[in-house]
Amino acid sequence: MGCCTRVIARLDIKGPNVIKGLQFEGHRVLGTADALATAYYRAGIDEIIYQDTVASLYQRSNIAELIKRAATGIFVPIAVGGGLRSIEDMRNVLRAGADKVILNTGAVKSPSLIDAGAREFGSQCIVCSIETARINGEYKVWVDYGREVSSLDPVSWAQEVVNRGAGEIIINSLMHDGMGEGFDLDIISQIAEKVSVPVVASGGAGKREHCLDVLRSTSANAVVVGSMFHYHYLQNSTQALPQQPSHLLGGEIDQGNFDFIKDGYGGDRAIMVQPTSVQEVKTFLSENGIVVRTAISSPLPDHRVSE
Amino acid sequence: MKTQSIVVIDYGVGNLFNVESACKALDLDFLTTTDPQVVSNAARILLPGVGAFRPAMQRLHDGGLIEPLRNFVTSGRPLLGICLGMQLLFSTSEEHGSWNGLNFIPGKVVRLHEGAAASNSQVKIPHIGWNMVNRSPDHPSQSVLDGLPAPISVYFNHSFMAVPVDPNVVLGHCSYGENSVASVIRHNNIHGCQFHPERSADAGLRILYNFAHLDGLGSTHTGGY
Repeated sequence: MGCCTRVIARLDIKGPNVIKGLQFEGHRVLGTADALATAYYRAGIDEIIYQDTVASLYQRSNIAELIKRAATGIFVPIAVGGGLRSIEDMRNVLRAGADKVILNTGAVKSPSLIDAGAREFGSQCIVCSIETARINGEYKVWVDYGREVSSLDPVSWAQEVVNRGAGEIIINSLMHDGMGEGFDLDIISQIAEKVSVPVVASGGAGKREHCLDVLRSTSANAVVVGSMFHYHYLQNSTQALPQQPSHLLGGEIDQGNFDFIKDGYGGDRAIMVQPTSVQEVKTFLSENGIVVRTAISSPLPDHRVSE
Repeated sequence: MKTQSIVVIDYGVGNLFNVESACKALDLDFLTTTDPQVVSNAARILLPGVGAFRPAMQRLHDGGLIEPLRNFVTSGRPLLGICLGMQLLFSTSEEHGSWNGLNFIPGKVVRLHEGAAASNSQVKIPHIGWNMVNRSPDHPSQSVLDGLPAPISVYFNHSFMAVPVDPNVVLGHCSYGENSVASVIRHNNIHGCQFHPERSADAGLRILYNFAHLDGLGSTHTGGY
């Protein structure tokens, strides 16, 4: 028997906020990272990815403070990516409480960063994210948060990052991101069959059936969910986000976010995403034979309650 | 309820922030230190660790921490090793060579088996993710697993595992492919978790809580929480 299949929430971070776009473009603020991460932790999420969306572009990373805050109240693994280009960058986020670092652009531009990171911190905390989309019919590796294409073939790049010491691979399909039309089963299964480390499928989850599809038809070990959870917990924000100050859902958001979601991304595209809770996804997977973690509730002896 | 002081050993390996955060969330009285003297005087010790075996042993050695740890363990006070911190408690490791550990518990640290490609028990290494820990049949009633259901799901992230000479040291184990991974161990006053309790949500927090409330002989207080 292997591990439980992980259900991972991905937070695309800009400043203190979580944003979400379509195909890595047209981002809108959904709420604070603190509030969403806390809601997901309480809901039984298995892991949280913090992806700094602007760090790589502007070659800076100041996500450490955010992670530090999150890590004080969230006791599931946190993986952090975006703009990590040196051992020092990695050390910064690990010291702030990240369990794993996610490398993409930094690794593509300087592959020895993977070897150095694995030597310094161990393979178990080096994750390589492979952002991929077809160009002229061929899959390529993309960098800089989906803005620039490289010459690398994703499958051979995956094998190379494992040889260099990556302990895990996230396959992130750019054209599927935010669309809610399902994962890119083709590239995920190609890569998952070729590498000896755990593979995480990312990009495209729009309903719980998509998660089951990718787990059944590829050998992925985990699924990443973004919009499905964001929209569920934002729509149910009075219960799900008790710590969210109400002004943050108004003032600092760049445009009427709920209206934006309701209108289908400003009306120009139909939303394919079905808001779903963490538990709904896990229960569905479990009913379909996928082993998932079941959280235990309130296990601490509480002296206020007689035992 | 505040408890006696727990000393978290900082020997420059891996991140202590999450262990400290968990202790804070549990309202435990703890102190992080590099100071061998503080280690000698601790009421209980948490030995975390992430990374490779040999550099970790080297850092314990360079920090003058090995003798204080040995004396501490001999005195019967409780120690909990986490992940690599648990592996260091054993006699030897075959991680990238052959290295001596602290040798508090007879046994060796070996690489996880991937399993044969043809069999359906082939697994990926590192073992990353949540896995179920089952209790050994003759599991004692007083341990860090007290009050927890069986099995529990906890978060693993490792490529090597400890194999104690005495199988009774293993209180909880998980299956990963053809590996039976010693996940919770206890040898007298010495405890260990191969997984990360500080990353294992409520189940893991309960384990840390239990450790903080163990008495010197390794049993928990009964009642009165």
